[in-house]
Order: sequence, then structure tokens, then C-alpha cells
Amino acid sequence: MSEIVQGIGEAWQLLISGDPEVWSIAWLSLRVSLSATLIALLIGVPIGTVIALHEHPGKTAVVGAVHAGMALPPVVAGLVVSILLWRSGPLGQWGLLYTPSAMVIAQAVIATPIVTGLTYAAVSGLDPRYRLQLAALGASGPATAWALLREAHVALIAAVVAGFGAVISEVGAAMMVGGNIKGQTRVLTTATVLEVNRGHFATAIALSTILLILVYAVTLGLTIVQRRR
Amino acid sequence: MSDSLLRMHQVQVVRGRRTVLAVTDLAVDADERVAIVGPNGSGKTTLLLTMALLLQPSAGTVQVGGEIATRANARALRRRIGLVFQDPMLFRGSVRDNVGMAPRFNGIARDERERRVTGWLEDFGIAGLADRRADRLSGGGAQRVALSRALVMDPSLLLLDEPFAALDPATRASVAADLVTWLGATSGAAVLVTHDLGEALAFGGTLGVLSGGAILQHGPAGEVMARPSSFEAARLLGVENLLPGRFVRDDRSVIVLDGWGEVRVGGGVADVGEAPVALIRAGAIRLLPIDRPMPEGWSGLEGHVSEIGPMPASNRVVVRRGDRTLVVAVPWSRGWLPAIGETVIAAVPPEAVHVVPGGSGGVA
Repeated sequence: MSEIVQGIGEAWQLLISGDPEVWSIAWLSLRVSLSATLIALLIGVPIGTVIALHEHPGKTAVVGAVHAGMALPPVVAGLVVSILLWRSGPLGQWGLLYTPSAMVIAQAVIATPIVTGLTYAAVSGLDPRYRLQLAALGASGPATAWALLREAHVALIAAVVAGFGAVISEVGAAMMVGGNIKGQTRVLTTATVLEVNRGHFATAIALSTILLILVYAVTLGLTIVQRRR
Repeated sequence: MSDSLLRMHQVQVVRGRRTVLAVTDLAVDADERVAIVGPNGSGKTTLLLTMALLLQPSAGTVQVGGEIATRANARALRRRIGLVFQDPMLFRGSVRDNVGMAPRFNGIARDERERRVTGWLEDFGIAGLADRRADRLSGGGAQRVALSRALVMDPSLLLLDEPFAALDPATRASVAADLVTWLGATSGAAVLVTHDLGEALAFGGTLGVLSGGAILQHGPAGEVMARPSSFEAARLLGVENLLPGRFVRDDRSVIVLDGWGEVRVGGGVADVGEAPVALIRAGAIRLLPIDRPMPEGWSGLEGHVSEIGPMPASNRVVVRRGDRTLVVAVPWSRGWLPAIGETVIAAVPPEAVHVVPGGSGGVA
């Protein structure tokens, strides 16, 4: 119990003292996860919308694959990205392994199916007459998609929250493709694991507290956007 | 027929193995108003979506302005068509944004768009709501926005899917009045589908009866109301008395109604086959005391009053004879109202008796 209190106290100290190492870890966590979420948004929203708006015989199989992707274990994503980026791997010449870019790629792989699946659900869940009404008003395909996404914005923001939540909180892929290198690829989750392994529970609690504050701040921002009409 | 604004020919819509719409031939002229009445599940919305070129029929053709609709030209042809659903289906944004959608989608320049939007908002009395959020409007306000939005491109054909069904009676009357004013002021055609016969009649013009995906009857509203072509059409057109009987003369001028007796037929006889049914509207029958002489040429059906209840403009009196009943509408303002149990004569003018083939569902 005393360690928890001590940890929270230490977290407070770290926060107000502006410890440069802690801030750089927190900033990298935020940067990597937001970048991955943004990539997932740019890929997942159009794909989810296209899947929702087109009927074809293979649709169930496609949606099933997306749903399976939503349950993709981060270590599997980490493994795949590691193999791709490995020095002798197909993308090895890019030299990205153990860099923040590699972490962004791995996290985007994790978040994209989540955003895709939830976008599909959001657009499919709209009253079908909205689409008919848009067609009757002369909307083109892209204009229809845009108007429907605006209608589904509450569920879409929830998709972004879910995608961001999945990546900011994951540790396996970040560890595998980032390597938890101090000052380079160490993020709040991997740093927390390290501190626990070292027996530094107070520091681990401090890092976790900062992580929770960051998560709350970002999701609060998204909630404000979600509730705005 | 080729100069019809819209024409459906041999159109079928099949879902799974079920044919949900089968329209042999239906044409809407350039300035015609057509109301299609049908119960829930009769295919009203399917019919309207097919007319709106939003649903590709499984067979047959839909022509707009003489041009057969295809996947390739549907979007261009739809520019001539406005569509309003029962629910306003407004989108995020202001009233102005919503009304301006079609001009925006069709690439109309901003100044022209603004001019059109403002004009329509004024015509429908909602200029004051222009910058309000569309999702904050009352039912009547929202439906006025939906109508303005459908009309802003000056469509040649306006399609309405029970657009007033969700409104309270007072709001319904006022929105409907604005719509009728618009229809009167333009040369555009309009098709209304509804389950409400009163609404269909108020729309005026041509009346169609839809049941089981097929148009049972179609023609000038007065004619259709006076002479339903079938038992099912009569039922849907609100004919209160559908009385089975048999003809006793070759000229079919008299029918013997089961349980009632002879009645003279002057309202026409459809091709009736074996099981004729006489249609008599409640409002056409006059109730008389048993000792009162009947008007010349009318038929009298004797029975006793078993029920009296109010209707909007009359009393609904049920006259019974054995296990047969006859509904008579006695206007509040005039007419003799008997007491329950009293023996009366229901006097029927021959022109109010129209005979059609019997229905498959049996008759009372």
C-alpha cells in the first residue's frame, strides 16, 4: 500500500519537476500512438465505409476477416512487422527496426482493423433511407460516403477512441519492434514493464499514472469532439 | 402514352423468391397528381423507390421523360425527381445546409444556390429557421425542410412516401396545404403513396389502389371511389358494406342480398362471375322509420338497430337482420336517428349499389 502512495507521490514529483527523461518518454508514447491512430483512421475509415456501402457475395467473409483483425494479438502484429523490417527481411533496407517509425507501423497494423470494423458497424447501422435520400438528392459516391460518415460521427469517434486505446496501452509490439531503447524507443508501457522487472514499483506506478493522465486527456478531447454538433 | 413524364412498363421487383411489386403499366403525366393508397406491406415504398430510380427492377422498364432508365443514366434522370420520406431524413448541419444539398451535389454555383435555398425557405414559411440546427426542429418544421429540400431543384416529379404520417393533425393540415399550394402553382407532377385514404383523397387527381404489390385499380379519384373494381379494392377504399348475393334477372338490374332481400342495382356491374358482392357506402343509405314511404325507385332493407356510435361527421348506425349487418352513416346535422332495438328501413338508392366479383377472403 505504501508503495502505491509513494508511487503516486513520485509521479506527482516527476510531473511537476518536468523530468526531461519522463517527458520525452511520455511525448514519444503520445506521438507514436497518435500517429498510428491517424494512419489507422486514414486507412480504416475509407475501407470500413466501402465495405459497408457495397454488397457482394464475399461480404461476410471480408467483414469476418476485419473482425478477426480487431482481435489481432499485438505480439503477432509485432512479430509480422519485425520479420518485414528485419535487416534481411523484405523491407530491411529501410533500416526502420528499433525506431519509433517501426513502432508506428506496428501500432497502425493493430489499430487499422479496429477502426475499419467499427467504421463498418457505424455506417451499416445508419437508417438505409439516408443513403436513398442522398442518392435522390444527386450525391456522388464520395459525397454520399462523406455525408453518411458525418451522420455516424458519434460511432466514428468511438472507433478512433478504441483504436487509440488499443495502441497507447499495448506493450508487446512496441517492445518487439522498438526494442525499448532508452532515449529512442522507450515509451510509457515498455518503461513501466522495465521498472517492474527492476523492482522499482514506485517509478512504475508514476509512469502508469502519467499514462492514465495522457489517455484521459486524449479521450476527453475526442469526447468533446464527439459531443459537438 | 409516350409523352408521359414517368412510365412503368411490366415492372417486377423480386426479393428472394417473392414478387413484391408487379406493375403492368402505370403512367404519370407531366402535371398529374397521383395518390396511391395501400395497406402496410402492399409495396408502396418499393413502388416509390422504383419510380425514384433508386431501386433497379428485376424486370421491366421505367421511363422518365421518354428515356428508359439504366444504371448509366439513372443519376442524371434523378435530377428531375424529388423525394420525401415519412421521416424528414435531415442531415447534420443547419436548415440552410440541408436545403442546399441537392444544388451542391449538382454543382450549382454558390450565389445561385443561396438564391434558390432562400426562395424555398420563404415559400414554405421557414426562412426564420435557416440557420437553426436541422435536428432541433419540430416535426412540422422538419418536414417543411424536407419538402423544400426536395423541391429546390425544381423537379418535374415529386415523390412523397407518407410525408405527413408522423405529424399531428393540425400540423399535417398546414404542411399539406403549403404543399398543395406549391403543386397548384407549378406544372410538376406528384405521386403520393399512403395507407391513409383521407390523405390520398385530399391530394386529388388520380387515385390508385395497391395491394400485394399490384395496382388493383387506377383512375380519376371520384370514379375509383364510386366504382371499385374488385372486392379487395372496395375494402381498401373504405366501402363499409360488402354484401354477397345473387342476380335473379338476366339484365342484372336486381340482386338478392343474402339475408336481406332484393336491391335494385344502378351503380354498375363489374364482371362478377359466380359470386357477386354488392358494394354500398354507409353514407349513401338513408334510415327511415318502418312506416315512412320510401323514395321512388329505392330499395328497402328491413332490420333492427343494434349499435350506434359516433364517426367524425356522422353517427355510425349498425342495422342487423339475423347474422347480417349493414352500416349506415347518419349525418349529425340531419337525418332521423332511431333508438337501439328499433326496427327500421335502410333505404338504398339504386345508383349507390355497385356489384363486383366476390373476394377470396370471404364476406361477412
